[in-house]
Amino acid sequence: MDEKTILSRIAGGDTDAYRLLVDRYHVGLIIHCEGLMKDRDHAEDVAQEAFIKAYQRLDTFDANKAKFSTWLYRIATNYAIDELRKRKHFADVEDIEALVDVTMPFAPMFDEKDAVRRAVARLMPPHYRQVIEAYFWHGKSYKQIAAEHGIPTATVGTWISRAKAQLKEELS
Amino acid sequence: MDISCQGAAKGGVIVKKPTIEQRLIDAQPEGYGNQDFVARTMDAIEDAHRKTHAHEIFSRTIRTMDVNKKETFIMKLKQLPIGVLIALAIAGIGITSGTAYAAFQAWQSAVVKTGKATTNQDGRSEVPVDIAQCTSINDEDIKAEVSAGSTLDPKEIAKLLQARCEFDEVIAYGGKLSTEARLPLTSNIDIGSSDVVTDYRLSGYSITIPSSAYSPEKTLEITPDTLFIARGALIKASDIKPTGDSIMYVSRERWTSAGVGAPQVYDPFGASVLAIIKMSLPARYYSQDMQAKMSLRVPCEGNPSDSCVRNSAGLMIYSYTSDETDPSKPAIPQPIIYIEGRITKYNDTSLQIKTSSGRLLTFKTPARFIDSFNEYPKEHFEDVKLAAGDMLSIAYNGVASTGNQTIELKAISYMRVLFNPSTKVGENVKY
Repeated sequence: MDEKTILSRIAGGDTDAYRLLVDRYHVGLIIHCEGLMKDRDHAEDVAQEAFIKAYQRLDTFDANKAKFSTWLYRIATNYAIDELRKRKHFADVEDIEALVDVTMPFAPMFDEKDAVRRAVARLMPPHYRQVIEAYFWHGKSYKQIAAEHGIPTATVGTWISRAKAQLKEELS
Repeated sequence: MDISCQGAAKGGVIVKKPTIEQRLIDAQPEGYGNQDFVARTMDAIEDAHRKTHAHEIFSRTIRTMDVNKKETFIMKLKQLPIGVLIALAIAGIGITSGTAYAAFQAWQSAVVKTGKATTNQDGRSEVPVDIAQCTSINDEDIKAEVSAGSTLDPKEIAKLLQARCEFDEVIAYGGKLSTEARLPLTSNIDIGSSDVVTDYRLSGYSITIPSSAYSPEKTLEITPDTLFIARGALIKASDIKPTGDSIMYVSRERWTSAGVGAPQVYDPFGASVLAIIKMSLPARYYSQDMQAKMSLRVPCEGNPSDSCVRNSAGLMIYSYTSDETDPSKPAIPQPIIYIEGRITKYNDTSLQIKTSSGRLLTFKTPARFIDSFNEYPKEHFEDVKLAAGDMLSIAYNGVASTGNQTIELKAISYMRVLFNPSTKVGENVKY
């Protein structure tokens, strides 16, 4: 179902249709927030709050003027900056803006889903595929992945880095 | 995080391609995700909604109290003669005995119809597509075109689309099984969907998959829990030939290593198959090579009178990055809309494209945009050079139009040059 249809269903009183948007964007948004907050639990809190704020302000959103994902990510980014400042963590807006680009949903016309999925399926050894799928597709944290594999959290980071290097080569 | 994706070229042109993180997130299959998070978030939203609308809900409850109740199923049953009730009870037993088969529907088969082939503005054969029950392709007003240089018969397009939908459904189903299986804590168990295979050997106890470039020969145990599926519904094991059918399978395998970081070795012990899926079509329809013989076209977002390639392959040749802290780099106003067209001409300050509907759009560019791009091909990607006739995909701030237009540089978000779909790494044949 396309985004405009979902939004018009929500506007028409079908509040449960919002679940489709949460389903569609939560993994990417959590990863985006994790990059900003440097903490998974805080990132999930910020992502959840962003979904709530977006829902509450949905009547101010014009689907003809922006993509929902761009608007949602902006809400999350602003909220993350506020939270970092509240916690008196160093929050240089320029640094954050540089990070924002790394995980922002990118131009939707550049689509190569099938090639990426096949490249992930070919990752060797298989635990590289498992960690990539777990983190980027199933929305699991490093901590959860580490517990499932019985390995230190740092090792999850190492496996993901190596897997990404393989993917970059495969997809270059 | 990978931030090595950006580079700048002469003349103010910024070349940028998506990061590997963005590409992975974008490729997330339907049905994947953290359902605990989704449930928690929806609970929080519903809670907030209830608090905000408590008064409204209360009023609605009072209003509905006196409304006549609808006749329920049980109320209707009570009015039936005893003979009819007995007949219904017998029918009910028959229905419930087949529940295991009837209740299982992992996915629905896509229904694809194509219309009469015509030749489009690029001289390619094109057919209108009507597609239903396909999770991964649900756009409206779709057209499918035969890729340049391909000898694909347009009559084959419906089957190719059916195959694409079915393949995606099986991949998503494998992901669901993987999530539901909740991997044990200390073993390297791999649960996932295979590619389409035909040279398997199936017996009542196991399925053997020949070796491939990425895996040794594997024999996977068939257990009492193994599911046999076709078109999303359960079938009998005997409905699948001992070899030669097109199948995908979801397996549970173990890979062990001598220690963290050491190479993993396939461990045949305990390898089993969770599901074997008999595919609806011959294997060739699912292959990447065959799928690359076709592209889909949909109305351009924001420019519905023109069509754009869906899931296009391409190279970013210009991308504008705003900077909130720099007044000279303001954000591009919304809405951002999209257009595609071939370059008809260019000069030092602009380029013109012709869209699918024949409109001519002129885009202002940085000084010597194309010449400067072509002077530094190695610094860009894969030695691509730009020329008249290239197909561009452009995102810009504007409003839908049906006439010719000139778009200022400050309104352009990005420009990409499009390539034909290809299965070969580094093969960039312009669209």
